[in-house]
Amino acid sequence: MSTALLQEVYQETRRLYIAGSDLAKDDFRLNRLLPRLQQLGERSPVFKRIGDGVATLLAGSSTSEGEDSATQLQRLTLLVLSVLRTQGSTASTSEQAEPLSSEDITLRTRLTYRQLAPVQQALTTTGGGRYEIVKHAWQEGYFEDVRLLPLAVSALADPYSDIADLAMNSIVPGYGKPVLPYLMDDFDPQGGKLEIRKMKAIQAIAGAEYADFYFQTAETTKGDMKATAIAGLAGLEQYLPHLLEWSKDKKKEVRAVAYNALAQISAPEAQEVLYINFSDASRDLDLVVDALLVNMQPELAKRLHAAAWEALEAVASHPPKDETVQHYNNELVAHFRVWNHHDKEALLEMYRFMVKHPKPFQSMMRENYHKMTLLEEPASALAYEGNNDDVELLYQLEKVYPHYILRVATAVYRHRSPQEFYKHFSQGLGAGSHRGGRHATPNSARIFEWLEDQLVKHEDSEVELLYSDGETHRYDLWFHTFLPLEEMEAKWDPRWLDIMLAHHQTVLVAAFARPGVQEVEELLKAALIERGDLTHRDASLYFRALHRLGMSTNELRKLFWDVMESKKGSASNTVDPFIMRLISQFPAEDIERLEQLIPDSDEKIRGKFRYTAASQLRAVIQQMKEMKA
Amino acid sequence: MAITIDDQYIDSLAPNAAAAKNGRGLLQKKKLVALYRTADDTLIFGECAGSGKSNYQCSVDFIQQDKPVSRCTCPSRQFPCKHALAIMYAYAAGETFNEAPIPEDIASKREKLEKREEKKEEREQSASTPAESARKKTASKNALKKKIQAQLDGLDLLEKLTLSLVRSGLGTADKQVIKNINDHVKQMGNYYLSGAQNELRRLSLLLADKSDPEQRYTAEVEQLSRIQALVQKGRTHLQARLEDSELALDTDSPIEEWLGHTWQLAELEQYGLKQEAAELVQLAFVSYEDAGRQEFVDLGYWMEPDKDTIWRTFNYRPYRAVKHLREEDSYTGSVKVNEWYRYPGDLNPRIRWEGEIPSSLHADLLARVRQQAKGSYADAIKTVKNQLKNPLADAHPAMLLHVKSTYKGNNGELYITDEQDQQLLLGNVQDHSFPIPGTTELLPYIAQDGLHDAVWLGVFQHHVDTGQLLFQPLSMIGEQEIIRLLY
Repeated sequence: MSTALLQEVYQETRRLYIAGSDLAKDDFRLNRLLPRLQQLGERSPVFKRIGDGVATLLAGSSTSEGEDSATQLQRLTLLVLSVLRTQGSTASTSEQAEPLSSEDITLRTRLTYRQLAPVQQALTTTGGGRYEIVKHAWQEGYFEDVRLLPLAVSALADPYSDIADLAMNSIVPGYGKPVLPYLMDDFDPQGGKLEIRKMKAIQAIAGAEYADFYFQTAETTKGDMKATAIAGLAGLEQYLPHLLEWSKDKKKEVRAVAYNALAQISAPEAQEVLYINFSDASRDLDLVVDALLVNMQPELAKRLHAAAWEALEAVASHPPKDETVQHYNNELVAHFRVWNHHDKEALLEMYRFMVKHPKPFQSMMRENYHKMTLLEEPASALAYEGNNDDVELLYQLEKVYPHYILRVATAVYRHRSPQEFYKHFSQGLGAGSHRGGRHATPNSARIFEWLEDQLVKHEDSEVELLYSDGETHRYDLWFHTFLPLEEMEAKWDPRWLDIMLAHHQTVLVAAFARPGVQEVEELLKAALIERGDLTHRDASLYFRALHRLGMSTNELRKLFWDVMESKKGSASNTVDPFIMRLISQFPAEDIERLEQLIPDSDEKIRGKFRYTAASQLRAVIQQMKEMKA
Repeated sequence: MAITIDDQYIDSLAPNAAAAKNGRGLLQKKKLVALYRTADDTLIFGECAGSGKSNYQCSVDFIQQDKPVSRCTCPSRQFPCKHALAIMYAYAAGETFNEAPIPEDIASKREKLEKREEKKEEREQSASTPAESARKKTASKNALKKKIQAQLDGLDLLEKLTLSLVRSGLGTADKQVIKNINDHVKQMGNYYLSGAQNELRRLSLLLADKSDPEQRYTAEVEQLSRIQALVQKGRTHLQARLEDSELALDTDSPIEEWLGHTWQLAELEQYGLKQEAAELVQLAFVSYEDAGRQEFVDLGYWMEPDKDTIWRTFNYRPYRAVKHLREEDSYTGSVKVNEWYRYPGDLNPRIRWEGEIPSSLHADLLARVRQQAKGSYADAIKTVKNQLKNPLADAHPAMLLHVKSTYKGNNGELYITDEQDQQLLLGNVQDHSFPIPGTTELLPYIAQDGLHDAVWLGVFQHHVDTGQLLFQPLSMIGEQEIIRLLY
């Protein structure tokens, strides 16, 4: 059987299908095949029929049955295709072949269609929710199913980077060495993001074993791929000359990985490059520091520690001028980063030195930080992480630079008694006055704010809501509260209350309030009436304080109604759950009055509880009604 | 009689994956508050906490072991619902079910069901009185003649349309032409020719496809040729039927289905296609979208141990009803069926059954399946080609082959060999109407025992442009388990 000739006939009929069978008459290319068909037709009936079919088509005339070119072409092709389908070749065309061998594979196919299909779909389409499906599949161990392996590799190129990262960092390395040939087979070093991710996955699996491959790739590529390849050579001394060379590369990302790789090599040449770049505060200082954060050899640590002290002493003894300021600034900040990571105690020692010699450091401004001097960080670190002795250092600093007062406050609060704290900080506040001039000294405002931060805390609480359509919901509400009373007494000097009264710091008065001080109750009540609503956090804080002072529910109820029925004030969007609990203790006769606090839809009633607050109040009213019933 | 159910069987009962997951979730979250079973273990029931105030009362009735019935007071329209699934998972997991008498409502439901079955049997018996059936036959015969005549008219219309397209050429098929074809697709619905309608829709979809024109033209030519064959064979067949005094359906070939006949189980029984009780093993499964049919298709490949036919089950889920129909899952056990039906077909006939009893797959069954593998590719290929030469036949016949060895040639292609070292090229099926995932790329990751001296189930595909006949492996039947490359 001459399959080749049949193929030719098929190709010509196919062409006529595209062009239209009306053009078949006298078709030159089909005509050319006719003699060979007729020749074969003498021996084979099939070829005779095909030859006849071609001849009829070429003649271009309708047959006796009224069949035109279209029918003729259809019949001919049907026959040719049927014969061709019996001629399909199943043999390989390769001259050589080898048995297919698999690596040590333990992957099986255990998943059912329903488990597998959603993951396959997630990895072959785009759209929302895919990451969750893939992550769940990975957590469940689905990727051990061999059918997901090709998709896991192609997921390295997923347009959604979270999926690509999961594939690169977890899924693909999870297959271990058997997947390496799959990754290496079509690896294209000149390729884009997918290939870079492949390289990272290969490094995660093969480690130093494939170092030569990374090296070859680094030698023949540029930019990101080169950097990724070099990262695989970290710590490998045999590549030292190349790493030294790459640390001078034009591309920043290449230099960065080269420094990183060098930091893991203890050879003196490697360490020298890092040391020089550091102590010269070169343009690559940040890159070197990044590398040292990952890995710092002990020998280099010793040298850099000495260098740090040399720099500190140089600045303290001869405050730098002009161009040297920048140099010292960069170098010292670099030291802060390195020692903060590797040796906190060594860093605090350096900070103590700076606080003891504050002037030159206070005059150096940190780069890229708005109006921040080199001394800010040491003061802050000693305040939060220093010891009892450091308090003295900070007292001294405050004398020179009073604006460090809050750092001092932090340190004193942490290490010293409430009485010492009171003694030190109440002094500078001035006498206070009942009229105007609430902040007697520039630092008093700072201290009051700081105290408020310490004493007023916020909390989350789930509240019940009842919507106007009758649906109930639960909702997380954020509100303010005070430190518990016992904690107040243990940590704070009671004399603060008088200071706050004198300075008209109402919130702090509320915070420090204790039973028996008549003035407090009046001040808070007056403040509430003055506001006329619950919109500000202070209003509910005052209610909390009055409750703490022992005011009865009935008195609080009266106060609440005074506030609500005041002509001043506006409507609250949310209300402190404390107030809602208070309301729920009101007698049932208040229910109707409470209902008046919810604005109706056409706003004829101008109530002071709207939106979420209205739903809160509805829930409480319902509760009260149930109690009543 | 104790019920034997395992997780996989329950999964297969679930209407979809989400229901199975939710059912398991209920068990994990300990939402099942009471679990009972009857003394004869034919009914399990219990209560499940839901979002409302009262619990759902839920039961699964195994009185007909092969057709479990689930009932629940929840409003879900899925059967079984997640609560019923949860109760079954709990049973399979060996949770304690306290013995309890059968609830009254279920007892009465069982009674009603029994009565219904009795009535059905009575009706069947009464229907078979010769006089009545003869009367019915004459009445339906006239209607049937009309129907066949309509089908012949439909084939004429189809031929006229395709010929005009062939005359003007595929190169000229623009939006207008496609619209005209689509109008005809709708019209074909009036001629009882849903099979032909689907083939015409496939052609329209190919013409509208904007991908690689070269591949598309080849597919279009093949599709036109297929329609031509359908017209020719259909016409001959229908004319022959008209002349037959019984107007009998043809059960020797799938021609009825090609034209669009939907076989009823009763018809199959009437034509003697009902089968004896058997055990069936699923070898492969796939679910795909057939845009030509406008349906999702769940396709299973099955074998009876000791028999060499590879059967296929089809579960068609039309686009319109897809939300309400159960999507099947692959099934790695075996099933025992009491009565089942085979459809007229070629190498891999369609089969169907209604109730099944799950059973586990063991080495002995696998060994008996493995024994059916064809050892000679020459014979297998001959059989396949014999089917392929009919353009209407299934273009992807499935075969169980013994693989002596798997090779990779220096041109990159993969092939397998038989004992006589005859080669068979491997490749993935590429067919718009049979869009299944590729599997050959997985072969390098299959353990050695799956690649050499192995038994594979696969499907064939003839590529007309390359002149190659390729084999796509679907599953490897191992001694202990089946490695499923597809599903």
